[in-house]
Amino acid sequence: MHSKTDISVDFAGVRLKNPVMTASGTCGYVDELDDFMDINLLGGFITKSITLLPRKGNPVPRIVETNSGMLNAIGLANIGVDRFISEKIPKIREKNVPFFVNIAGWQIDDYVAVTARLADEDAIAGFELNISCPNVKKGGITFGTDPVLIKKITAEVKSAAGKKPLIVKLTPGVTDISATAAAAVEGGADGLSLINTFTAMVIDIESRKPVLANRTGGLSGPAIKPIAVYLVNKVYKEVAKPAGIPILGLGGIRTASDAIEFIIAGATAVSVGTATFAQPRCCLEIIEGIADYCGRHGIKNISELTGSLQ
Amino acid sequence: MSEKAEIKANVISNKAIGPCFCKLSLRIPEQYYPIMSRFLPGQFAQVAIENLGSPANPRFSPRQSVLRKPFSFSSVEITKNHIIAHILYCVLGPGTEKMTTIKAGDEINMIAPLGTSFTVSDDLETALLVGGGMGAVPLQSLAEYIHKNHPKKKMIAFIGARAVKGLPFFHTHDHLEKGKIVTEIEEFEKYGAKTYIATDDGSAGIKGFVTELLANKVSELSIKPANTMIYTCGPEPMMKAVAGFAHKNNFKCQVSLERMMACGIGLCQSCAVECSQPGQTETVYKLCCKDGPVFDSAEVCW
Repeated sequence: MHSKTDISVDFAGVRLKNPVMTASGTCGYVDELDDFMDINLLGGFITKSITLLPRKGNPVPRIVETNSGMLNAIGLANIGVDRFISEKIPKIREKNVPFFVNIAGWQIDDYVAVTARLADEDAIAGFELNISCPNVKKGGITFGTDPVLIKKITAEVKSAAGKKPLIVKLTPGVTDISATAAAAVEGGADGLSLINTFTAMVIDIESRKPVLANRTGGLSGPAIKPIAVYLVNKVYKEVAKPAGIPILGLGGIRTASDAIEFIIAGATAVSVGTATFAQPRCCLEIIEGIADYCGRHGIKNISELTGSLQ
Repeated sequence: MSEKAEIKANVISNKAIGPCFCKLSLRIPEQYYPIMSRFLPGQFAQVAIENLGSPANPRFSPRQSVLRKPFSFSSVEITKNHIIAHILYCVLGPGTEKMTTIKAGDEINMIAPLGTSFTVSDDLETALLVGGGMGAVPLQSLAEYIHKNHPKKKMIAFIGARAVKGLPFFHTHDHLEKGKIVTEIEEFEKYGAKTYIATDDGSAGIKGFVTELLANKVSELSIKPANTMIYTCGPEPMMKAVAGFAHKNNFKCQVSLERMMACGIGLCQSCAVECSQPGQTETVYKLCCKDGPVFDSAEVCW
């Protein structure tokens, strides 16, 4: 690592020792990656989505691989907030990295209830609001496409979150992502994360049926990266920069150069998702690569790089 | 200590066996001995295929693969001086087709050993190994393990296939027994397991399903459920039938399941297996990669 560059960032009031976080749903709850890396070296950790009640999730097949990516339709399988508090929070306490809990639900009250249960947990740094999951029948993406609902849910969850920051995760499945981003900011979001997966389908031509039991799934991986970079830049220019709100950029990041593209486009920090499935240590390699790049380019503080697109 | 790790293994050979199957043999470098010597039969590896090339005339539309692919081991030879791991695979799509380009001297990146294993209890007397097609592969490593660690236990293997040609990764030989031609599989015989074969077309062994063969032999040889375990791996309908036979006749049965999985290490939650819970009507989804791939057949909701 180059000692000259400060790659720590302030994200929504939380100090991250570097700008790289895990993406929700790709890193477990807390200790699943411990065999492969020390997660305390990460900038932050974003947990799997937590709902009020436990969720079994969708029938299988839940994933299918595509060219340079994959579809998933897990259906928010998770242990529910009670077991999260009793089983996972004690383990989170043993870690020394900011934990953001991804919150999901079916109606605003669900989101508010989960957030309220965790608002006073010292072990939690903040929340990420999942209003963009494409794989559940109601809620999720329906919240994520309606600016009026986004503003309302953001405001209510923000109020339940107390002093903890709230990041709102946006879906790319809208005509104008700046409108949904602006609604989240108006609702009181402290940060925006974008993008979630694209709704997509793979068909088995022999049976003429979709491969996934859920029929559709969310497309992730390198295939979506250029679109994600574009959308991060658009939201940065049109919403985040004017409002002074940081962006957590994600979508197909696998290498340091991918991450740096997002940062140049306007992201303050980045999340790594699908790449972790294949390379469980890749976040650490990305962090090293970012430090190297900053050193090579004489960047003293990584904040100089955010939104530096020429 | 870690239970699993990213292992960089050296390719000894990658041999085609007939038009569809290949055998990949890997030398495990010494630094990974502490991890890999913990391998137990039934555990699997997630092999990285992203950087492999496509063959000259691909049968499948080439794909840039991001994800690793899961494979069971047919054998892991563990001695003081070396660990050699063998993976048998069937070329079924663009990922496995890329694997045919692996050559001796290459380095393969795999995460292993993963998942649960077959378990062999001390009071076990007879192990019944029931395999179908490629599913017979992890049972070979179970036979190797039982032979090495529990030499007094009796093993009988029942192997099913569409035709004898469907088992080209096994060495078979015919001999006469009581005036009938009997086909045996060397990979099981060498570990002291008597083998019986069932094929759909009758090209080897009996004509019919391996489950019928199992039921007939259990009755003929008067095998009792006490101190017997059925171990099975193969197509899911076959395993369901074996589990049904076990349940009906009070045999204990371990099944090795297969699911599409992105990570193999419990992150993606894609490889769900619906299981019952003792004393509850509500079922749960367990993960094939972490809670399996080997399950007690009685807990699986078939």
